[in-house]
Amino acid sequence: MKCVFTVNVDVEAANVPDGQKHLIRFRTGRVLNGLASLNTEGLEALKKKSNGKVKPIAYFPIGTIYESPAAWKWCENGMAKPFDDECREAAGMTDADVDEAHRRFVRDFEKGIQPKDWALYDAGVIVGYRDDGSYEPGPKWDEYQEALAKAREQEDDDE
Amino acid sequence: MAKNRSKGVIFSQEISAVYTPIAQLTTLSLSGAAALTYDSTTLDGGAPKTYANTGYAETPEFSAEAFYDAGLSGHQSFTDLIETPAETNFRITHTNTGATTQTFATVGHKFDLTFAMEDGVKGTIGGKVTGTSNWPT
Repeated sequence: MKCVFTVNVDVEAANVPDGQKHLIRFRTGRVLNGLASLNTEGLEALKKKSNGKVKPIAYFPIGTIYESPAAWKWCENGMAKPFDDECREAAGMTDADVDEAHRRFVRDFEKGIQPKDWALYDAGVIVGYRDDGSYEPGPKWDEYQEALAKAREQEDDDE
Repeated sequence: MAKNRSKGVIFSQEISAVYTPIAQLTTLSLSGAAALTYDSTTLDGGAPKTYANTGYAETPEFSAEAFYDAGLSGHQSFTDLIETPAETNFRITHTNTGATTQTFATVGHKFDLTFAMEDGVKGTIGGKVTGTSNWPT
């Protein structure tokens, strides 16, 4: 069965089946931060230039179609979408389920949102964290702050 | 040099060559790695005992606690390793700026499940690293 990855995924190059090794790309850092993506030739050139100090990480970029008996698991995990009926059937997910799983994957792993902040992220109050750990405001931030202020005023009035 | 947060660390299990992040982890540890020594103290030596390296290294055990979801394939993939033991690669993606990765092969996988009145359902996974731990260099 086949799936198509909706996020960049690290792979163990040696264990990718021979017929699919051509799908592998290499990176030298976090793909999510937009660092260079290289094909095999590019990697060799970079290794040579850096005197072998570069430590390449093999990965499949977004959009890679991969055939594996485990394809449905990555759909359930939010990393991929079914590419054929076999995978769709094994995953047993509607398109909405697949989208929701992907949204959760982005929230949990790409944005690194902590469980205590899931409600804020899901409601659009925050979109992530700044480098200092504080909240990165989302589209509903101001609305949320106003609601908090009103709730505080109400508490003061009640006292 | 930087003080990196634990928040954002990713622990992935290799499934069919793809490193698949394990969801809902709350802790992760890798402990017990050590260069092994032997007692090299001699009768004609000084008072303080001495030790020397054997040339071997003890590999660490990994352990991670998660809010366990029995219906999640990502969690089932780990417990599959208990029913069908198999040497399996795991990867830590560190939280430093370069997102350093550390990959190691593991065996002897184990799982503890806890239901407690004042907590969510928790599962603790663990295993033994075999061969190099690939500590970042």
